[in-house]
Amino acid sequence: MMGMQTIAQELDVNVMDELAGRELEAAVLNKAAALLEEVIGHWEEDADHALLDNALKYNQGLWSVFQAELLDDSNPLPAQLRESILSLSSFVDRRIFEVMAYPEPAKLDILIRINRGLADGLMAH
Amino acid sequence: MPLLHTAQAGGAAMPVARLAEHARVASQAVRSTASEGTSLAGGGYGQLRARQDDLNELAQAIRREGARVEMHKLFPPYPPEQEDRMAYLDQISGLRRQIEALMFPAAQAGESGQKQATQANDLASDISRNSQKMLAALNSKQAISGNRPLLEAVAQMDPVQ
Repeated sequence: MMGMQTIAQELDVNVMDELAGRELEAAVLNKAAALLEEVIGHWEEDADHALLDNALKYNQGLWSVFQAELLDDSNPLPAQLRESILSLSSFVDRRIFEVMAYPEPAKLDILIRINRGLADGLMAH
Repeated sequence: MPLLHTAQAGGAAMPVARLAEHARVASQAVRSTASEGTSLAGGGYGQLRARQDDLNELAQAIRREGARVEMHKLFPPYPPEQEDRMAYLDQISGLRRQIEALMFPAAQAGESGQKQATQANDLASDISRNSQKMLAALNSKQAISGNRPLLEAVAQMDPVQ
């Protein structure tokens, strides 16, 4: 699927080296959102949900990084923000499980909005 | 499960009340993860991924069955009549959370389930918007994760396999 391949190639090593921490996180959040949007756009073609699974696992990987880092007591983020993102990570975990078990494209919308919203916040500077 | 509990109880709460509820929900989230926090710190990412791999396999198995499965019948792995064992295992917070998490989809069946899902979505949207504002207000050098090598590794994961 060309769309997925294009998105997958967007964040190569050379590009990442040039990004600051916030920019990198925003780029990965946007990439994860774009993968989910691609899945919605190709829903009928993805009969075995292979694209869906791959996009969901990519999102899982990203959110696992956040979750692991935010659970670390030495994380310097303000407590309220840390707690909010941990709450979101809990929601994301369950939504991914749900949509993987009972696939429906509409269930992906909130995951896309969360990723895009956080990316916008990171890029606000 | 903090978000769902709040969604069930929230109903048509006023925005201010919901914001206050967010704070409580967030605190619960941290407390609920604190008991496993010591084991997740450091090698936390790997442990999280291993647990998610197990859950992914279960989710895909449910999908393959082609029917709504009542997951509380699949999990936990002991007969429901063994109350002593059930109580003992329920004391293990990590397992209890997994059980609750696995019951989430089954709890969404029917009209009330749709309403519950909508409320959960609304709450998550509110928390996301607040998080977006807080992220925007941070020092420009502060990011969510301080683990750049791990983030780069995840970023390069090939979603087309």
